[in-house]
Amino acid sequence: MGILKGAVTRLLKLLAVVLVVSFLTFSLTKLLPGDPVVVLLGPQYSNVEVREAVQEDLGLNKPFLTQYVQYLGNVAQGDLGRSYTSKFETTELLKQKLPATIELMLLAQLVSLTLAIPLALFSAFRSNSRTDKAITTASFGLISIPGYAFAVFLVWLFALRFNWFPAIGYQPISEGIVGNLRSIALPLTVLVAGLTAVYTRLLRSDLISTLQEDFILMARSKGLPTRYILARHALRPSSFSLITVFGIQFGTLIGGAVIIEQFFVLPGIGSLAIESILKRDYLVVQGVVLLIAISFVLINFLIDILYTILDPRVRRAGA
Amino acid sequence: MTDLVSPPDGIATNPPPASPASDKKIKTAKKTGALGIGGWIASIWLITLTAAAVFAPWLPLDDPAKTDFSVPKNNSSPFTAGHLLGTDNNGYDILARIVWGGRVSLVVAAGVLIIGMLVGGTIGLLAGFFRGKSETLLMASVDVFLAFPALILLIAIVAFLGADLLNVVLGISLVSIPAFARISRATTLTYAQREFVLAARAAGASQKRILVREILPNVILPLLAFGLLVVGIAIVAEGSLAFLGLTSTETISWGGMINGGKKPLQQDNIAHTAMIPAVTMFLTVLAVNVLGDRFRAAFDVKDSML
Repeated sequence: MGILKGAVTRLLKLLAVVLVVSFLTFSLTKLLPGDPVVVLLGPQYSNVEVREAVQEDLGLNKPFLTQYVQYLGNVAQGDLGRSYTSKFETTELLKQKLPATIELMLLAQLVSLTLAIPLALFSAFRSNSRTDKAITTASFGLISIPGYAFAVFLVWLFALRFNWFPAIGYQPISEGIVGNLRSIALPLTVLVAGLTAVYTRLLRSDLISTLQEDFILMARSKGLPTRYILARHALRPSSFSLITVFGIQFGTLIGGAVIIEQFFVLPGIGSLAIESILKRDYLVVQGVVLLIAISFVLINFLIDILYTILDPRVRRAGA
Repeated sequence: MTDLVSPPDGIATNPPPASPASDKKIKTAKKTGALGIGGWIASIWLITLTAAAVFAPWLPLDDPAKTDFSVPKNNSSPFTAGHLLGTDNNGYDILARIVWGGRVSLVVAAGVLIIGMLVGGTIGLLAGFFRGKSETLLMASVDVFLAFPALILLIAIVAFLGADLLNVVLGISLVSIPAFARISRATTLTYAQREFVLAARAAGASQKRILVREILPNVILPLLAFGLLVVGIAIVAEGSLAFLGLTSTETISWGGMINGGKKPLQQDNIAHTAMIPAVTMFLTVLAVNVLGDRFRAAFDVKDSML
């Protein structure tokens, strides 16, 4: 009962956040200089009749708030509007560009967690050992390396010297899974490196403090095997900040994806965002930002619920 | 890597309890001085870079905007005569552009640090001290900022306002303000409860005096430690914009150099034009982060001594 009520309040709050974000995006694209009609019409812009007809057609001559409310109404019906420049529906564009970005982000998160959890467990359990120091130093270095700088290095090493992976381009899954994985191997590595470093550092420091708790001592004195203590007793109470940051990193990954997609010429949401900003294609920009905001907020909502499942204390506090 | 909004790991929002990790740091700090070997190397690198950037016009460097096709061709590799780090595909001298690009990074770092600390720090200080509605409003706006993709916001600001250096600095500062405000608020909250604030209040100090004389001096150093972290992120963010080709082409920037080196790297098997700025940037960000890390470790000591 308590969980349900908490979930409903949270959901309402998140709805508010999404509304504010959509309003801000809408205002930003309207307030800032640069008229899509100029881009659309080119030299014909000076022809007043044509210009006004186009503005009428796009609904750009109505008052600001009316435009926003109309936009929201359309969004609620799943209509994000038609791109000014390419004449495609925004939803259609998003559908085309989503697979590459989603594949990249999900795989990046999955691989990073798979790497970070054992690394952190080992590092924390043998803290101050040589391996721990190596892991800590390496993750510190990886946090400091900008994605595009790392990408340069990877392309030089794995595409030029060894010729293992293609330097640019994306092959959809439908054209073969091996080619697909080869095409995203380098961009994925860039994202995974940064993420794994963040997760390992975080989980390591949480684990070190958990391992000093009395219940760990208790478990040890009961003679439980180390592996069991680490996996069953230490990991769960140490994973809360990891989970929080896991959610927040989806936002960071979007930023990373913009750069990485541009670097490796991948057809994703990031390149779509940049193209449409440069072309003043407002409706597409709004669609992209709205999609990102909604997914980010939803993911973090799910993570909030995950807390209550993982931590009985949160459950009781909510009830 | 371009996340300016969420407080990064390693930043304790409360004064951290003395942990074995920080005890260890105290011990190593005693051995090699407060900076440690890594800290010294980082400082030397940053000082050299800053000096070179500041005095760039008077250094015996090539004109960074002058093309030289006289040496075999463009894209001559490092250590060719007259060009220590070689030339890029436009025939520009890479060393000169690295130094001049450092100027841009320096301006961005300083600008963002000053604006972020002044504006974000003040907002957080006031919200954490006076609590109430202003605090609720602050936290709500932080939530909105979190849901807004920071890099896309930055790209939009620069794309629409114009791509000169001032707008880039303003844009990055704007995106970093919520994070500064959060850290400043959290630190203020913990100090506002301390006995010395109560003592000052009992002695009849005004709110303003407590805020400026009692709390501010305690908040400013952790904020600066966080600021060093933001400096690294700001340099990367400027580089990202330049890499995406969104900043003015007249501004010489490491990110722009990487962007220029992308095509030779991916299509013509020429690595050095992209690698040199990439490595420079990595070393610089690493040096800033190492110093920030030492700085924060030093504060753990201070906190545990209080």
